[in-house]
Amino acid sequence: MRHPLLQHAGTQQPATVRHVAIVVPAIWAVLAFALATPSAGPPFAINDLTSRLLATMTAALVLPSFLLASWYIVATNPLDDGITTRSIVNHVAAAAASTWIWLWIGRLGADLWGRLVDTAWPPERLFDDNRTLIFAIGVASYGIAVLGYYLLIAIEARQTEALRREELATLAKDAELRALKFQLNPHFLFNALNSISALTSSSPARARDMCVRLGDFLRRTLDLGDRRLVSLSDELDLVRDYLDLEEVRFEQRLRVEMDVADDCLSARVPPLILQPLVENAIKHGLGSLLGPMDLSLSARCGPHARLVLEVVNTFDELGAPPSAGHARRSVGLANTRQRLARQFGTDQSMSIETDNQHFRVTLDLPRHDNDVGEST
Amino acid sequence: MTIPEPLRVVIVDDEAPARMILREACSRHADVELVAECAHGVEALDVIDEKKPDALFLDVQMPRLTGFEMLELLEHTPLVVFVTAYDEHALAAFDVHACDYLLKPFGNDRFDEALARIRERRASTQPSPSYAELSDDARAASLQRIAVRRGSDVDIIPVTNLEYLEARDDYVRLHAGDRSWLKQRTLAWFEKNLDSRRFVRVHRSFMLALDALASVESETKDRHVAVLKSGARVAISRAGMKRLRAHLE
Repeated sequence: MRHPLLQHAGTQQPATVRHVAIVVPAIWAVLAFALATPSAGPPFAINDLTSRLLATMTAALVLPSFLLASWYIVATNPLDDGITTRSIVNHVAAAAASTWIWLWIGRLGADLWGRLVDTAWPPERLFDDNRTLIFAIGVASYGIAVLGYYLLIAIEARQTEALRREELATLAKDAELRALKFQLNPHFLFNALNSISALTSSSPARARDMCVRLGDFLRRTLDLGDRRLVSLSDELDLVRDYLDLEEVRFEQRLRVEMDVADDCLSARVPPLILQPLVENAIKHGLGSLLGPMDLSLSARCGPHARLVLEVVNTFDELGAPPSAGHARRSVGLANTRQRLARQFGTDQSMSIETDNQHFRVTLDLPRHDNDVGEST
Repeated sequence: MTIPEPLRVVIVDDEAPARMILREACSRHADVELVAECAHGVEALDVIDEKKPDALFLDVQMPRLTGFEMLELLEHTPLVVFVTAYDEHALAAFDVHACDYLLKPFGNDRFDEALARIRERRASTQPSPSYAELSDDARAASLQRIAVRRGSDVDIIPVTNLEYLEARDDYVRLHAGDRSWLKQRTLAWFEKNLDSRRFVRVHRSFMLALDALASVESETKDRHVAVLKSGARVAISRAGMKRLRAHLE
């Protein structure tokens, strides 16, 4: 584990590290002044005062290196398993040892000063006279430093954890959006290709026309799918392409009626929100009826800036194949429901009504005519 | 050189373009005689039983009756080639001993291969399969509804509507509301395939749906009768009473 106060040397330091780096020397400056104040002696003993200051400064300068070193004791005694006897013993021993070494080196330094200057009050007396006090300060400093380091570790761990959670949440959201994104139904493609294959010999012109429509549909799907909101008229163009292709497959069995108010065409809707509803209606409606199916699609702008979209189809409850029954249909619609909730929050509703012959899906959405102010 | 015996086939698909492709593919073979085209399984039942074709080109996803359900209701059992855009039915198709499984869209080569397999199967001494029995495995996992032929129509009975079942020789009479149907199945088959959390065999000849049960009356110490919500009364055997108790506890 790298030292928290040293690892950032030369780089931008996090706030906690900067605070520690300021607070520790500040405490020591205060202590130095307190110790340097003469407790007794002649009032004009300036040399004595200088001598005391020198000794205190020496002590104060040496101490931080021990406090820095105590990090390694902290690092090798993590609190992951709680406070253990072993870690307490290690810290007590380290506190005693480092304080003793500090005292010894401090006194050695002071002794050096004493030899260099001529003073009546030798600096090493600071250590000799205040041994207990200095020892206590050393142990206390060690304790404070160790607590600080543990705090730092805890804070960093929490920050890392928060960051990790945020990353996970982002990943989950991405995955969810990807899953919710419209997915082209491969069976639709296979069936469309089969229809084209059928038309190639009997009516090549229609086959070519269908190829063009299929191309248009795919291009629009890819294009719209990447956008967040599209105009209703774009969405309806896509639905028309889709219905044209399905009409080749089902011929007169598919009877479509569209009723779209002109003033709604510029409204913004999530891309490919209608297409799955229409696909669903065909799959479950036509899939259950021996005869033709009526499909109606309507859009109108209600009061209070609402956009109401409705897809209704006829169906036969008993005729739906087991693999495409009500439960399956609900799954397809649940996806649409989630997409709407993600886009508009609670400011939308999707309702499903069925009687014996009709299946009706109604979307009530906020009406936006531009992308400003859209929610995520 | 012998002229191959003509192969009489029926096409069943609800999409006209799909039928067109099969029709064209068949017309390329002089020895293949297309005897009928049907737009759905219900229509096909009578046509197949009447015309007795050698082989079927059969779609799976069709309205009202799936291809598998249709096979089950047939009296005549032709050889079958499934033709579908869905590859997930291939295992079930294998279970009903289909000759082949054509994925839409397919080319002429692939169609000819399917045809060759039909001829091969026809030439072999293998007896034609009985779909009513063979399709059990294919459908067993999810018995959600039961198709019953009624004249030229088909009734679909959702399993959730069933109140009780009554064994009648080789048939089972299915009761739902004030209606009942005869289905050519054994009660043991239903016992195996219906949801055992909902249906209990209460007697050698009866199974009932727990949610249709109103009360149990005891006539003597060992003779009990289940009274259903519809008012119907169903005999309970001694062993059946034990099973019923186990379910109700």
